[in-house]
Amino acid sequence: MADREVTLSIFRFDPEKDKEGRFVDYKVPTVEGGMVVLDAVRYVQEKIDTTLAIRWNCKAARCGSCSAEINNRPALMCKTRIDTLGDRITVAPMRAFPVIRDLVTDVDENYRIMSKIPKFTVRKELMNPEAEGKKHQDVWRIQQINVERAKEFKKCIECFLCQDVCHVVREHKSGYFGPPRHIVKAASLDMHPLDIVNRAKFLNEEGGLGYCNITKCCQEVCPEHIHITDNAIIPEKERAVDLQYDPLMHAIKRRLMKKRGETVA
Amino acid sequence: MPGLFAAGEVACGLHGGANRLGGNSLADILVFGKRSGEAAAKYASDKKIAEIEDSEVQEEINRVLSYLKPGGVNPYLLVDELTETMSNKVGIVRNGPDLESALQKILELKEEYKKVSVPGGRKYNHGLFTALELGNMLIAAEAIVRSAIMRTESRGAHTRKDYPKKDRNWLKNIILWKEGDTMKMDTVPVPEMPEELKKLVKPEVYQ
Ligand SMILES: Cc1cc2nc3c(=O)[nH]c(=O)nc-3n(C[C@H](O)[C@H](O)[C@H](O)COP(=O)(O)OP(=O)(O)OC[C@H]3O[C@@H](n4cnc5c(N)ncnc54)[C@H](O)[C@@H]3O)c2cc1C
Ligand code: SF4
Ligand code: SF4
Ligand code: FES
Repeated sequence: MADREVTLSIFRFDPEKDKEGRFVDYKVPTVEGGMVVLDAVRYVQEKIDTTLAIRWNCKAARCGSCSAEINNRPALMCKTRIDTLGDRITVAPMRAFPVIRDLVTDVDENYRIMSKIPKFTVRKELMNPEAEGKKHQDVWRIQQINVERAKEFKKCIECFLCQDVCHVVREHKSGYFGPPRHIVKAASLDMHPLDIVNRAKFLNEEGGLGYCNITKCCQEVCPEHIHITDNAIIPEKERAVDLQYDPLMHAIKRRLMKKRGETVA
Repeated sequence: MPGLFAAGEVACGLHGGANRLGGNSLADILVFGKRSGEAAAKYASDKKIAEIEDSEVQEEINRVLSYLKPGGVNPYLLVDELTETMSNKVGIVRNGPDLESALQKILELKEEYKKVSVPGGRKYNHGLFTALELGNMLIAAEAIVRSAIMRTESRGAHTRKDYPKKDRNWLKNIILWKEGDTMKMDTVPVPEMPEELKKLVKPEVYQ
């Protein structure tokens, strides 16, 4: 049953036809309890204008496809409840990415970047432990604490809200790929005890790790509550410093890595 | 169909029959994904990519674009009606009269579907996707309802209040196919469970 009416101000833009985008207002009846912004946007699409372009899939905060800026704040449309917002709600596409149409942005660049991150690599013996007279399950066993550490990063649903909010991604278009999501990915591999690649130098030189001035905005918008800055970026920054700038740590680290058979990407 | 390999959800739960047990799908995609992947690779290794007639491609493009014109019936409204029908009448616990009335409704919606069209262009037009999907949804819904009407027993996730018992005569699969504009159906017997498997499960599983 209709409870109250809200005005949804939705960004409409077709780059092929329009010079610039504009906000269009739509009146949407809301229902008490549980209704989310995605429901309201879909109401507009289904009942008022079927040409409104939106991307969504799971409506359960799992697929990461309904990212938008709701009242200027990067958020998932399916996880933002109407009853937490006022009577006037603006919905815009993520501004860090090119608009395909209306609320749909082209996030392909993120996947191109992701494919550059050196992949999970283990010592050769691990691929064929039987040859060394060892059991598979023995050499691959890792401690629970390490499982937990990686688990936090594996929660990422690739919504790219962190990329969207980051001022570095928004303002520096220097071919550099921007910290949050990609560092979470790299950190999940770097912190795996069986992985033998150190990605900190790569992140620093190609990823622009140094541009991040730890504002923690990315961490604040992450729908999976990943401690992006605290647990991924800062440790990677520390590793980069150890590896590249601190002479004493540099010597120790390189020796340690050599001993462990680790390589620098 | 030669050259078509399927695994997982799209292969209709090979092992589960009318049931859909938690955790089975994961095993399903791993086992049958590996098997069909390997078989497909082997099959493809000495075959050339088939030629597609340009006219066939054009025909399909025309079909898709034929939904693009303003002023037609809004596909979303029909999706809503179909969803409501299937939720209310073809749910977990079913009965003959409800299934029959659901079938009537689906046949009506099929007629309405002929009037569906949407405004806008080809790019990211969700209305167009919905218009296209609705056609498939109606086929799937009709197949589900016709099969549910035909299966006068309760088995697995198919529960009929008017036929509450499992019936040995229904150790059969229902198959459906297209003939002209109509849906034809028949049954095929399921293979007898091998003796070694019978030993592992309770008799009611294979009876
Ligand atoms: C909410 C939910 C919870 C579940 N929980 C469990 C569970 O706990 N345990 C369990 O075992 N199972 C569970 N399942 C079932 C299981 O997840 C699915 O059966 C399984 O993921 C299906 O895998 P699939 O590879 O067959 O199909 P999908 O994973 O659906 O993959 C199909 C792929 O095809 C792509 N595709 C579609 N159309 C086209 C096209 N035209 N061209 C190219 N690509 C296309 C899609 O994008 C998709 O990537 C759950 C399902 C749901 C919905
Ligand atoms: S903490 Fe760093 S990566 Fe995160 S938003 Fe701020 S500058 Fe960007
Ligand atoms: S780290 Fe968080 S905000 Fe960034 S893409 Fe992953 S889930 Fe989204
Ligand atoms: S629709 Fe999947 S995350 Fe919102």
